[in-house]
Amino acid sequence: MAGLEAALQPINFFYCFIGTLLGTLLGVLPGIGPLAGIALLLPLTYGLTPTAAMILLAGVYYGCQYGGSTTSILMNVPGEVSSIVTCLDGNKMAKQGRAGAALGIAAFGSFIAGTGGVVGLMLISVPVAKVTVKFGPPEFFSLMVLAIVILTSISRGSTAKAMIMAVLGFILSFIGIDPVSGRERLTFGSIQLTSGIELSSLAIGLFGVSEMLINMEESIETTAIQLKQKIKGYLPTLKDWRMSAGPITRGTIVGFVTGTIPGGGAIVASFVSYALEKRLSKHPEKFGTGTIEGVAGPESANNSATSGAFIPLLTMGIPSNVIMALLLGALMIHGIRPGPLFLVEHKDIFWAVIGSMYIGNVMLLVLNLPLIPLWVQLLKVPNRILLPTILLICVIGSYSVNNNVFDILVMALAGIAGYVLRKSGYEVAPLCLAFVLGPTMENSFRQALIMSDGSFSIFVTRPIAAVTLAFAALALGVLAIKGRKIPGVQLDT
Amino acid sequence: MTKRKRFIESAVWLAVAALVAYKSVELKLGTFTSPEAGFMPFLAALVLAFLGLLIFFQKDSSPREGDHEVSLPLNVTPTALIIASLLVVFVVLLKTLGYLISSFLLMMFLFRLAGNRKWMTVLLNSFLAATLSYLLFGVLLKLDLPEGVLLGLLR
Amino acid sequence: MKTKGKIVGVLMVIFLLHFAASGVSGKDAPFPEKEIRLLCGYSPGSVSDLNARSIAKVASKYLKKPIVVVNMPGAAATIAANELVRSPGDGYTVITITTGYFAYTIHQQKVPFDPALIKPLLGYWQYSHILFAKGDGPFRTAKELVDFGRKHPDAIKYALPARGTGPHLMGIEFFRNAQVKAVDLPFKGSGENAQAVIGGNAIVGVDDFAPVKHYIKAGSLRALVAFLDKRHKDLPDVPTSGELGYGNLGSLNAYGILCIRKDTPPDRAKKLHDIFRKVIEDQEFTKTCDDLGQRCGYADTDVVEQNIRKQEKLSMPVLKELKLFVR
Repeated sequence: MAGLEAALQPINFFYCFIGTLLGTLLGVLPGIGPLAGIALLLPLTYGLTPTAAMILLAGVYYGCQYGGSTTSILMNVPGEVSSIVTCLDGNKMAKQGRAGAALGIAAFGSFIAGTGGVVGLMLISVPVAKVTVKFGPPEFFSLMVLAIVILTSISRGSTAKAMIMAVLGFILSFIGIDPVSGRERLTFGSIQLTSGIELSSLAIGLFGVSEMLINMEESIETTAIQLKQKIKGYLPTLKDWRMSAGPITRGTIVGFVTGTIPGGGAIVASFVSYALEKRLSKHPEKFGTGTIEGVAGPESANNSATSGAFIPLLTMGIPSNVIMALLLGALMIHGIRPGPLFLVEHKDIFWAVIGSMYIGNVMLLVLNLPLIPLWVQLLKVPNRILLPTILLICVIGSYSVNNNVFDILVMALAGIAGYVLRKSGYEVAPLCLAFVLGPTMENSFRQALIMSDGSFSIFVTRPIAAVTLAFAALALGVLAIKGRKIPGVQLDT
Repeated sequence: MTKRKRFIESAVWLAVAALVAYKSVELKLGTFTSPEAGFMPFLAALVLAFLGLLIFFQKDSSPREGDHEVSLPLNVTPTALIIASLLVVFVVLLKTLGYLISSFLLMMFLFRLAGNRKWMTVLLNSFLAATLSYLLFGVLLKLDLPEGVLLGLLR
Repeated sequence: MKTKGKIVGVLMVIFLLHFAASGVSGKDAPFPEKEIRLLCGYSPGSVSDLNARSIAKVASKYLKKPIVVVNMPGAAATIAANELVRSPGDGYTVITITTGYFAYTIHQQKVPFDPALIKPLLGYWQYSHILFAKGDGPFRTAKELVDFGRKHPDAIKYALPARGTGPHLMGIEFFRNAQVKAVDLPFKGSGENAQAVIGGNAIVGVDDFAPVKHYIKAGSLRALVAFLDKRHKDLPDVPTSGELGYGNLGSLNAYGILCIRKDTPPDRAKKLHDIFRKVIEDQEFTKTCDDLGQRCGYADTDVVEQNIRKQEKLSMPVLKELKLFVR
């Protein structure tokens, strides 16, 4: 409770507000995300107390998760890579005039999950951390295998086509320097490709730019909403709420757990939630056409995942992703060393941050809800003005991730590729997701084999890895059996 | 989905698979117990080739996005190609001309392509887009947008 | 249309004000008359990035115009280095990079520019690599580790933040001199390799002291050997590899350096050099370094050059062995 008090102090409250506000805005902008925001604000934090600095920067991080869904829903442009999955159903809902409902559920789901995540952070950080710290290459590999099996169930159309997309995603993820051997792969002599393809540019291109190219084919007076559709209300209906209750709850749990695993993160959380909801739904074939569950689940998951991601950092000093690494650095500059001693030496900061996260979540809800009608009105702007503007924002967003013009090219190429693929009946989501999972899966596999001197038994003798792989095998079996009934897999001679 | 189109599709995937396989063999494959850099890519290429063949024989009812079936290969409209080329040109010119001019030019073309007929509208909107974005992203958010001719002159 | 016209007008005014504020001055204005870009070839949050930001922060005391850190990660800093070479040689673009880059990184890639176009201004920090093991693990001293390693060849896997870099080379040299057959286990970055050791997935790890400082303090990790010329001040009980008889590997620690284009006008180069030197010797900077666990201090170009040559000489044969050598 002392934490809540500290968080409510005017100065900390103020910084919480600034952080979350900036986070939301940055989250809305495609490509630019928490990294840019934290890097931007870092110099300004030097004069602040460590508590205030942490509150500010943490606010930017989870604020981005709120904003990220906005452009995903409205424009099919992922504002954050963790909102890629939100594009699938969210954008379809927007095209049906239900953008308000989608945005609303995303906001509420994010709030509930975010708060839930903070509760989890408060209560079970230490025990969870004790388990996940032992995770090594064999465990990561099996988790990735499970994730990949789940991944294949996301798509609506032909399984073969989804698998092609996934394999392509893997191949693209191999481009660059292979960390395990240190050698360049598939770079074709380009120095730019040695660091691989930038995920944000790929996602923005495959989803957003392709969407734009497809839309440019329509007549000039159309707006983003399918012709003649009225905007059906700005908030979710009671029915929406009922259908979302389950996904939000499950999303919270799934997201939190995934977030605590170093290397897991919000992206994986979001699509695991999506796959889970599709599997549990009574009408799975509707996923991808604009179901509210397809928005509620993932958006909740990616928010609780951000809370979960703090656990390794605050309890063990291990950053689970790049943003956490930056936060770690920020703390170190202030003379604070997160780590096993953090909870002992700096209890006050820990609780103040937790307190501010509660407040931050409320703030974000209050900030985002009134903006919804505004965003929806944006859809009324004629395409001939809107589309080029969005494209410019995508260009800037792609560029600013690494301050590299090459990323703009990646976005453009991904845009054309996405455009062609979508018109030929392929879905780009599995590609992106495989692209994210590929490196971890491959590296962990090879690292595990180095650890075991080439023996595969390591995957079986280590309990967590073994159980996860068994799960994956089970899931694969279920999919194969069900697969015979999926339309599109009939052979045609 | 005509047989010819399916053929092109499969061919594309097989070609990609062949390329990747070739490059991975160059890197050495290693063995199952001691995989080298080329192992996984090669495996992926094999799977891709298999799937590419499978596609050819399948009856496919996947939903297709974008209503317009164009007679051009792979359904690409001229608009799409033009926009992609515009972006490439933009990238090339960005560092020399600087952000302001490059984005202004890009927006001019894009607005025109998107269907705005009046030149005044196009010019005005492009100007607004370029300058507003510069102020928002370059100045306010302090992103590092390339300086070029215009800004260099002003300094 | 009229409102649009008004908006345009307002924008023009804002624009002019913006440029007026940033100082539209002629060629006679003292250098620097606008902000200086400090390129960083590593991601935000990395050791180099944090050091660069420290410099930027402290430099605001000595310079009227700010130093802005621009992250351009990619190709192990080659992308940023390329950007430096492509920037005008007017002294407004500086890069923070390491001597390791010139010693071994450029030999592992086909860099798209001539490295001779880049000239170091000074060095401002030096890595302090150590060998560490799990805090409550079975190995409490280097001797125990080496004994075990000699009896069980290939049993020791040492976790690295990257392959073909300083820590890797030190690991190879150390274990060779100690006559232990050990296997390198590369990860992606310092966080991952430390975590591997903490979680008991690798017996030991090699890394710079800074990223693992807090683990050592908390007891999750234990430092066994310091790859330094003399003992680290924060690790008084940890012997150096030289003391143990396995070769003095201290000179393999790369320096973090600031570089500019070789053809920068000498007066500007000198001014930059002097300002940065003042920053480095500023108390605020040294305190931040201490907090981060870095060894900071001024190193002149001779020291820097020597470090590059020495590392290069030692790493060439190893790179060839590892098949990482390109040119």
